[in-house]
Amino acid sequence: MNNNKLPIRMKVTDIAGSNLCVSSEDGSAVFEKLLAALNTDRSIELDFSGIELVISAFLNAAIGRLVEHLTIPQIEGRITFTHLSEDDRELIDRVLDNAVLYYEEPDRFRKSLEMEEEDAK
Amino acid sequence: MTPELRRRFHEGIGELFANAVTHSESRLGAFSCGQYFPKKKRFDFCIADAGSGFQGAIERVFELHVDSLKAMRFCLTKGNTTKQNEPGGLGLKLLKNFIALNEGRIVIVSNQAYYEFSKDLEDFQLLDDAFPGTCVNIEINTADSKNYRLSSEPLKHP
Repeated sequence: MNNNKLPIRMKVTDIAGSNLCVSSEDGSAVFEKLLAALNTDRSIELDFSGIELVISAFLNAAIGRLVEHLTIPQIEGRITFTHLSEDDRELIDRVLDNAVLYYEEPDRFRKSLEMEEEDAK
Repeated sequence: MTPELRRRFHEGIGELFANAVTHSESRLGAFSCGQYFPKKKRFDFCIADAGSGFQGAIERVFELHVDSLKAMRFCLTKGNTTKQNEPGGLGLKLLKNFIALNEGRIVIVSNQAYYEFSKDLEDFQLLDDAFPGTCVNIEINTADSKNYRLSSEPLKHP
């Protein structure tokens, strides 16, 4: 990565079109922008200024899905999350943690349900 | 209601609406209502959809037949999700954490399954008749002035 280049700054309110980050659709729009920016050699600043509410459903779509493509250290090395409360930053950590478990074995939900059905027979 | 409590409550409601939109496939959308009980310092909020319920979502996504109670237990387990190609399963867990700290209450009815959760109670029951969709009622203690932080539950990948 060329550290001399300025980071790509993305304002969440501009992408989501709202100060409420409460839908998967808006999260997916942020994810698409992040993925495109990650294909450059620049770092990224994801700016949450002006955002009043963030929920996990939005963050799963926006940031959790990145774990399919990058490790958490890679994500944190490329993307800086700014103007977030300490609690919302902690929520991002939880979303990333949960995403790692999800992508380790995406089919585990079907398997666990199938096993329960087998046990019930 | 303190600003922090209000924020937590709004997050919980946001998670419930997101769930209704993402999972229910309700053709009639979702319905919500609320009532404040000033003497008891309690606020009740209810959201209901006329969709497939937890059971229907599992049958649709995984093509597996499970009974209503198993479906509800699955959907209330942290990290479990019926979303395809996207992680999920945190919203209800976060809401339960908040309700336990707030000393509030959650009641969920989905198809034939009934679930009630509070600080001292977690109860699943099979109803005689099925509700055609999912209905979630949350009751919060508005006199609560705790300083909320996400639970101290450790991260697996800190």
